[in-house]
Amino acid sequence: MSVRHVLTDVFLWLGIALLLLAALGNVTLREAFDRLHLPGLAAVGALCVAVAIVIEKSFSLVGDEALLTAAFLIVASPVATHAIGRAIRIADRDDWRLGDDEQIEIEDGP
Amino acid sequence: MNPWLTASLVLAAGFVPCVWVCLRGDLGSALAALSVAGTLTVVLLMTLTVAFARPPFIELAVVLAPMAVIGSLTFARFLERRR
Repeated sequence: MSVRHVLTDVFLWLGIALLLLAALGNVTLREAFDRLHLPGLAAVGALCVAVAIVIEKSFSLVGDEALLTAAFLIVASPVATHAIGRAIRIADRDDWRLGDDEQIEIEDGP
Repeated sequence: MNPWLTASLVLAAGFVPCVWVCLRGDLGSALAALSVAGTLTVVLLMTLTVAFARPPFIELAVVLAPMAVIGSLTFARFLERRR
């Protein structure tokens, strides 16, 4: 088994593990804002699988487009996550900004 | 069995929790689960392309990636207007 095959397997199963972790997180996490952390994890998993494809197929049609797709997901997934978080705030409170009845605790620096 | 096909089958199992939350969770959680399911589908299409050695099928993943994100943004907009 060559180094190339080993690297392919490592990246492929690392990506699959991250994606499964993101999917299972939907069940273990309870709040919508907690669950919003999961699409980012899934996007990193997609990048790992794309890297595995590039190692296996080199920079061919499949390798290039897999990498392009994963790069797009890495950039676009946080945008969608932000939009969903904002929408939840607006649906709950009519405004996404901090309300008068809410407080954020800010710790003093060292 | 081809490792890519095995990976595809394992990935397909990841849809179960996403569908569960989409059906049973509140709207915000369902949208987050939909976003994860979209990424899962994109990766599933990529692994199936390699598993069956059909390079043109990768276009399906390339097209689905922006569609999944646009879908999430659209549903988020509907959620905002729901109030």
